[in-house]
Amino acid sequence: MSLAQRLSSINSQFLYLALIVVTTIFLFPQIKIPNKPDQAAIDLYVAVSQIPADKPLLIQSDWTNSSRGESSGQFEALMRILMRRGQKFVLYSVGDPQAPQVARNVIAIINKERVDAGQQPYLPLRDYVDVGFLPNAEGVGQAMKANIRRAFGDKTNRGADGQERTIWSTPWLAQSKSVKDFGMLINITASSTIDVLIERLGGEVPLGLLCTGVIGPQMIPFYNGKQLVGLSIGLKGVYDLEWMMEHGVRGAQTREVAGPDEVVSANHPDIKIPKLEGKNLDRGSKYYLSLHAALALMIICVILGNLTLIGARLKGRKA
Amino acid sequence: MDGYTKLKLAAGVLATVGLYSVLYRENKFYRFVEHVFLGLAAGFTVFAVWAETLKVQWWDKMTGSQGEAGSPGTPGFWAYILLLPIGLMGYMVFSKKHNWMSRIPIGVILGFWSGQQIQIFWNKWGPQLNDSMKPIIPTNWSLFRPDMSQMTPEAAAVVQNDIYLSQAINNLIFTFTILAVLSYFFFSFDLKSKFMQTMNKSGRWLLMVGLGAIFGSTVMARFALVIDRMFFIFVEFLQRALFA
Repeated sequence: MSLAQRLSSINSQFLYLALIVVTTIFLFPQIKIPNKPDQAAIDLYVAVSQIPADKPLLIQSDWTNSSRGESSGQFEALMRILMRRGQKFVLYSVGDPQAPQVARNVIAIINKERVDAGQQPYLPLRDYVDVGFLPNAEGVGQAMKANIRRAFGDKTNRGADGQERTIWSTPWLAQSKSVKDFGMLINITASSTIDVLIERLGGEVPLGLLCTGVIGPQMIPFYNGKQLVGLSIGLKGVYDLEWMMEHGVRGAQTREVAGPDEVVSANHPDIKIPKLEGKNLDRGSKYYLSLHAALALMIICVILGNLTLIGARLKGRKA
Repeated sequence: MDGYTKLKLAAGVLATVGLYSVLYRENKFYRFVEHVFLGLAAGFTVFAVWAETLKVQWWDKMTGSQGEAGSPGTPGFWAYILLLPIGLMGYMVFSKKHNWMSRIPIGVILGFWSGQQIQIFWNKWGPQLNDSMKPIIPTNWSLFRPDMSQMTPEAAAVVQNDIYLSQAINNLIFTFTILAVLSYFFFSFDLKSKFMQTMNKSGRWLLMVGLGAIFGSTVMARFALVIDRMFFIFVEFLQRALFA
């Protein structure tokens, strides 16, 4: 049997095994891969970093464990950015009933991280409110546009004192009467819930998106059309966010020499966002080398497969 | 790490291995884990819809609450009970005799949906239509935009507004791609002219290029899922929980 025939007859189970072995091995080396964040991710990071501290955010968390590899890293990075800025936010979900719980789990992890670092944990009512799950994305979007207070209803959260109080009793939400009173709406999603937001709330509040690689390409036109202020796609998007948190971002015209690995934004001439103190590199950095190894494996397999096919065709012609 | 957390992680590892075992071949372990997963998801959904939505938004409002020591109660709004039969009418679709009743709530929903479509269409596609009108004639014939880091803000603003040759070429490719791909979807009449046939063929090739790029991003997403699962098994469970 020729090499070409051997290659073409490799069992697909062997390829799955090779993929698992390669991705696992490359999870362990601590290698910092150079990165140049996408302009869309830079725009998102800058937009989040420039929201006035007195303007709360709306966070629509629509991811579940089915996209944990990407969405969890995105949500963790977003939480770290907001918590370090002391930004208040309203958390809710429309995409899946499991979504609120996975978001709560991540907040608990980041809170433990903060307590271990000697910082205050982020607490319900005092720092954020948790609206939970609201079924029917279209209906919720339309209701939010009409009257956000009615859309979220009389949801209650348990505060640090153990008392159950309505979310609207928090002082930092007192001025928020409509969706326009919020600094931004960020959607973390693996599905098309952002389409519904653009349809219903486009132009009402700046929209940001952290999405998976599957739906990422179809979201780029929304970013180009300025319907999204910024966009972070998949694992690359996670690494971009972590990279900017670790190295900071400056404008192209700040007339300063950029620090090593510092990100330069072409769309923001004179900004200067310093690096964030604390743990910045996490899931994106840990997975990025494995992703490269897996992609390399796939490219090698595609090349070998094509060479084998061409070889077999040439042999067939000679015969 | 306490014993319960380790047990939880071990269950997660078993479920992961069980679901991935289908890559070897279809087996009973995979089927078992798949059914457990579906059952849990369905059960959790029912609970979440009740606990997070129906109870808070409907039941509690309808029944009100009794005042506890020192705090007044809230009256119940019994008119909310009328929502129940309206919702249940949707299920009449399964009855041959009464399925006409299901058309009432469905009709109301469709009516609302239809009424919103004009606003929705323009919110979604209007900005993209606008963004697709790109200048294809350069205003500055230099190939690339110069580095703006050492310019005054006024000079940088002028450079920012100029259309450089590279940008114009980029916009031309974009415009050609849109027209070519749109021409590919002319199914209603026969494309006889050589020009339209070329555009049609170019559209097909450009669509393939676009789909290839989407495939690349999709593969990245799928790999991320595998990497996360391996991280969970080998780092979160084995390294941090079992052999810490």
